[in-house]
Parts: sequence; structure tokens; C-alpha cells
Amino acid sequence: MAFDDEDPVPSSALAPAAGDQGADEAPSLEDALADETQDFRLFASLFDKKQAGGKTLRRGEKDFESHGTRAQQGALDASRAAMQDVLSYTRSHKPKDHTRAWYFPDKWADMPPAEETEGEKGAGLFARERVVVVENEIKGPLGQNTGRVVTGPGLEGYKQTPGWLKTWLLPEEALYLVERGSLDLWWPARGIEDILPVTKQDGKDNDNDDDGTSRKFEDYELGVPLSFQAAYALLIGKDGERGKVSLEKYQVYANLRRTGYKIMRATSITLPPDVSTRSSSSQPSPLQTLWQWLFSLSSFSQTNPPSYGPLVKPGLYRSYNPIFAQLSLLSRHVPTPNPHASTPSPEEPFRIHFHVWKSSTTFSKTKPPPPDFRIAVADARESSVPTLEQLTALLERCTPWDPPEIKDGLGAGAGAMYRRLKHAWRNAVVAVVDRGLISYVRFGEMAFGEERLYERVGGGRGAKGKRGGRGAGRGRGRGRGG
Amino acid sequence: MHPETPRLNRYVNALVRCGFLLPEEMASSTISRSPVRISKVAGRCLLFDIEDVMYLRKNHNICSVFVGTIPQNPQQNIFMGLPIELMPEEAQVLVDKKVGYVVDDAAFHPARLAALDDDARKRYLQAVKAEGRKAQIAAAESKQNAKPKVIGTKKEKAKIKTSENETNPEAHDESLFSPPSPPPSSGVPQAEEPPPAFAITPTTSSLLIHPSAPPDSPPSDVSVVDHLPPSYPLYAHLQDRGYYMMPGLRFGCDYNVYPGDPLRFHSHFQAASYGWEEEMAVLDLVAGGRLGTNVKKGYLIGGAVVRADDDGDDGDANRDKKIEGIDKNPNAPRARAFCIEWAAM
Repeated sequence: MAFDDEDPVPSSALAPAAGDQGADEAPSLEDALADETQDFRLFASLFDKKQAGGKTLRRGEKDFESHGTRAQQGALDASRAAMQDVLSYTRSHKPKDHTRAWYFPDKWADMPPAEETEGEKGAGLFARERVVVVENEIKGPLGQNTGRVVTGPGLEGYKQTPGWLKTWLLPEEALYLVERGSLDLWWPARGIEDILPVTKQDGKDNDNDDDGTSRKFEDYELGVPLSFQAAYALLIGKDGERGKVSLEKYQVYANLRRTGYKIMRATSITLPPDVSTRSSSSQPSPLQTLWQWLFSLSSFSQTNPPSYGPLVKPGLYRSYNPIFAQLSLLSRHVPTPNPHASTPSPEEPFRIHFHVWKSSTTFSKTKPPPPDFRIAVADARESSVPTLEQLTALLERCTPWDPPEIKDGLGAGAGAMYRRLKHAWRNAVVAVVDRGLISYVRFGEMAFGEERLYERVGGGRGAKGKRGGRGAGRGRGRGRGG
Repeated sequence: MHPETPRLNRYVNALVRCGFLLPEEMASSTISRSPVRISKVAGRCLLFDIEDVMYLRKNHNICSVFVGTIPQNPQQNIFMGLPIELMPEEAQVLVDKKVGYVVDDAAFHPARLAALDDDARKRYLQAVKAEGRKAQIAAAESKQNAKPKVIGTKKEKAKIKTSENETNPEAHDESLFSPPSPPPSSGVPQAEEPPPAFAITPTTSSLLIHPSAPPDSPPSDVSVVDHLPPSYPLYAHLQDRGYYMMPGLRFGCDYNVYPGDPLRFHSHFQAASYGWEEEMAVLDLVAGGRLGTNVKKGYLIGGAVVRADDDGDDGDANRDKKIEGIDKNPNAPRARAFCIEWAAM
């Protein structure tokens, strides 16, 4: 029993995980490494307080190998029984929070497969992909970033058709709601006009009111409730199939939703025009011109030293900076807001698939704020580590220019250097999925060459030299930024 | 023989008698059972039936990864629920051992659902509604069960508050019970006016499947396993020897190999598959070996044996020493495995 005190995660600490922000309670590193399978006895204890009290429940309580004792077998059997018990649950919907939805894959099939771009329209509509219509509204916070009413320009022809002004779900949204037991998905046996009769409040009747909508159908005439398995079969598909989502993308979607993030399908961004690599180098940044100006004043030229040396021209130096400047021979990567013309276009799977917001973000699903994270989903078995070209394409063509923030000197100083480097000038998250196990990897476009360490040595002079907003202030502000 | 052996034997016998050790006969035996229906959706093999999952776990050392949300507690990622996603290797092993068959569920469902006539739908709906009624009754019962507990805690609080005036628990019970509901002696919970049955989302499509296909005969619409990786021989080899395996993403290998159910045991090896004649980079061995040593695992490499005359007897000999209770895979490709450890010289 003494060992129980060392338990890093007692069952009481797990209880908050039942709340909305679930997995702030991330498993410790050791658990993440060693413990893919959780003991379901712990899970049962989340609900059944009676059971939790009696037994000592410890996570990561495992053995090295079988030693054939009955105690061990009993523990294993108990774990399995708990697992079976928890997972035998059937999703049931209480009448008061019963949300019914119908699977109508072809309602929006004729929509043009428009390339959705982030812009004045706000979030992408993806009308073609919306295959599930919700009978009433999704109640509670779940509906906050789930589903859309399909409206907008180009949809006038659909006005007053059945399903108009209803919430339509993307396949991943519908499947996630079914999976968490919040949606009752039905297979329609009749057309959409019988199931969702057009409301006649506007006085605009449709033609089909003679036999179809006038009569009230029995449930079995309308359709049947789909099983969880059927929902998977209908909504999971290959990449690019209309009205379906690939399993690995769905798994990433559900994983982030469970954690409490807000997540929506990504729209492509409008990029600034390309610049050719050459013109960007011939068009120097202000800092470079200043350097040149400085050097021209002190009659040092920045041209390459003669091949026979010396590296540093003989002369009178009053600071180390010009010396270091002459020593920097190799050109470094300089991030630019415009993508280079030589950057190839992104290839699957290394393009942005989902936009993700932190749960605290105030959110409107029609006009969401700029996303906090952009995520690409890659299958571990069908792709390998991205090449430099793929990464460059992912960063330059799919993610916006997002340099580290510098506000009134905050974030510009030496202290914030590593924060700047880590933030990077563009960034993207790649979710790698290996048969259900997900790892998130963040890639950033870093610029070590922009951090001139030599300006920081020698009595704290010139700690400000970050380019960007403060580049022009080279001659003035000597103080350390932050 | 060792002088200690008799004493050890006696000790072991004593343990068995006292119930600490399992006699060997108690190892689980396979129950004959209709083959598991593996549903293939977009090339991925999924299992939705908890009975199947537990059966494979107990009898065929296949556990796989739970990938679904648990509806009882959907805002967490620590405990995962159905379905499980079988690796293609696992599905192939099951097919080879004839304990499972693969069905293209993405094709089956729309076809089957579209073929339902009014009668069939009625029956289906009735079955689902019956389930719903059961769920509703269960919910009502659990509420009933929960009630005394609530009262109990209230009572205790009350006791603490008013400890000096003598509290009669019976009187308390009555006062708390009588106003809201009749005493729960009837056993049938609140059957006065039947509230509408709960709507149900069945977990599996068994209600759809049964009318068409008798469960014991393997149906005609059998599909094949897609995307079988080149590491399959190593998988089948280790699986045949009773090891449990999980995807190896977290340890940079093909499989995480467990000596028993991962619920109970830490993994022993990280397995990487190589072709028999494949050149391997020494750096990979060093990296794998070091990583394995750091996480207290052995780095295991292996692959299919190409030539028939290569250690044929050795493999067969190993096979005979197999663990009881686990079916042999007749079609397992022959493979060999080696373990590398980082020697601290």
C-alpha cells in the first residue's frame, strides 16, 4: 500500500478530465512512452464512485512478464472486464436532447467544386461536401463550430427547396457527433421533400404538397436509424472522395475536438505575389542597405575578400561588428513575406487540411478569426519525412507570413531571441497518424541568420538589431529591448 | 540435478495449492466461434463489436488500437473506445487463421440499406426501439440506485450538523422518501406513464446483417486486405508465438512487442523489419539499440526467410514449443528475429 502514495495520477486527479477542457491532464512523458493502453478500471472509477473507493487504482501498474500467478491473471481479467464493461455501452439519446439527422449525400452534389479561399466570405462553406442534415438545431456548445446553413451567392436556385435553412454537416462533423453520442443519424427511405417538408409560413408552397407532405409518415416509412458502424461505413472514404473524409483526417479531427480545440476544414489562403529568388536578393532589406551605408562611410566595402586573404581587411576597428560582418561569408536564409517563384506547389499530404483554434477563442463559425494552428495530416505508413521542397511548399504556399511579434521593443531584445526562433516566420503542424496513434510535429521557417549574436557581445551595445519594424532605428535606441 | 530442485518443486506445489499459481491446464482454451466480421472502410480494417474485440484479445493475442470516442466521457483522449483499427497485418493473420473475414462495409451498407423494404424497416426499427426501451429502463434503474446514495450523503451531512439532537435514520428516510415518490419496493421503476423510449444508435450493424447472412457460414462478399506492408512476415512470426503487437510509431519502429496483453505488461521489444538480403545502415542499428536500451526494451530486427533450406528445422522446432491456447497460424511465413542490446563495455 505504501507504493500507492507514489502514484503520479490518482483517480481523483483524473476526475477533472471529465470536464470540457479534458486533456489538459496530459499523461506524463513516461506514460506517453510506455502506456498506450490505459487501464479501464480507472475509467470505470470516473463514474462509479462506489467501485473507485474500494480498490486501489494505479496507472501504469504493469508487470514485466507473465509469472503465472493467479493474482496476475486476476488483475488482467479484472482489467479486461472493466474494459468490456465500459465499451459495451450503447449510445442512447434521451428524448429531451435527442438530435436527429439524415444522411442525404446528393443534396449539394451539383454545387461547383469551388476552390475555397480564406477571404471576405469567412470560413469555407464546402457545400458539396455536406451530406448530413440536422432536423432541428444542434443544442449546446457543440453546435458552436459544427455545421453550417448552406446559403450565399450562387445558391438562389436552392431557395425553398427541402433542407434549405437547415444545418448541414460535413462528414467528419457528423461522424464525431455520432461517435460521442450526440447525434442520431438516420438513413432516409424517402426523398428529402418527405422528410423535411418545406415550411409554408412564407406562403410559398412547393408543388409536392398533394400527396407527399400532407400526410404524416410513420417513422419506419421515413427511414431507419443508422448504427455507429454504418456511420463509419458511409462517412469514411478515400482522400478526395466527395462527402467523405479519410480515416486519418477524421482521427486527427476527433482527437483535437475531444481535447477541446475548435477545428474546421482549411481554406486556402490568398498569397502575395511570387518573387523570383534573384530579385529578392537584389532588393536588399533596409538593414542591408544600412550596413552598406555604414561600410561606405568607414570606407570598408562588403565585397568578398580576395581569395588569397586576408579575411579581415587590415585597418583600424573600433568595434567588433565590422569584423564579424566581414567574417560572415555564407549567405543565410532570409524569410520573405512573398513566396519565391521557385517554390513548387504543395503536394499531398503536406498541405494544410485543418484550421485549429484554441478553445478560449471567441468564435463565429461563419467568420472565424485567423486560426491559431494550421494542420496537415499525413499517414505514417504512406508518406515519409517531408523533403525540403515539400516543406518549403507547405510553408510558403499554404501558411501565411507570420513573423514573431515585435511590439514597442517587446520581443525584440536578446532575451526573446529563442522565443522568436521558436515561433519562426511561418509555421505549420503536421499530424502523423500511424493506425490510430497520432503525433503532432511542428515545422517552422526559422532564420538563425537574422539573429546576429555578435551584436549582443561587447558591453550590451546594439542589442536592438532585429530587422523588421525596428530596422530603421539602427542609429538610435541603444537600450536593450527586453 | 540441483540439490534445491526438490525443495523448489515442493514450494511451487504449495503455491499452486494455495491458489497463487495457475496450474497449466487452466490456460485459456479457444472456444469455437463464428468468424469475426472485419469491416473494411476505405481500405482500413475496423472492428465495432466489443465481443469480437475481447475475443481476439483473449484468444488470438490481437489487441490493436482503440480509435473512437467514448460516449460516456467524450472530452478526453486518455481512454479511447470503439472501433479498433486493425493493422493490415492483423487482419491478414486473422484471415489466414480463418478466424476472421473481411467485408467491404462501405459497399455493403448503402446496398443493404437501400434494399430494405417497408416491412424490414419496421422490424429493424422495432428491434432498435426495444433496445431503446431497455436503455431507458436501465437509466431509470441506475437513477433509482443512485438515489439512496444521495440521500445517504445528505443524511450524513445532516448528522454532522445536528449531531446533538438524536437522529432517527428511519424517520429521516421516510421524510426524504415520501414526498417525491412512492417507496421503491415495487421494483419496477416508474412504470406509471411510459415516457417515450430512448432513441438508440446501435453500435454495430448486426441488425442489418443477420437477415441476409447466417452468421456461421462465411458469406460470399469477402474482400481482401489492402496495403499489407512488407513487414508482414515478421509480424506473423511474432504473432504466431503469442506476442501482442502495437503500431510502433512512438518508438520509431514497426511494432511494439509485448509479452502479453498490453493492459498488464510492458513491451519488451521494438521490432523493425528488414528484408533477408537487405543492407542495413549501422547507424540505424546504433540508433535503434540506443533508443531501445533507454526505454528498457530490446531492439529486435527480423524478416522473412527467403531460402527454403535455411534453418528449416530450427523454425519447426520452435513451433512445437508453442504456447497452449493460442491457435497456430498455418499460413504464417517463415521468419527469423534477432535482438540487439546496447552493450556498455
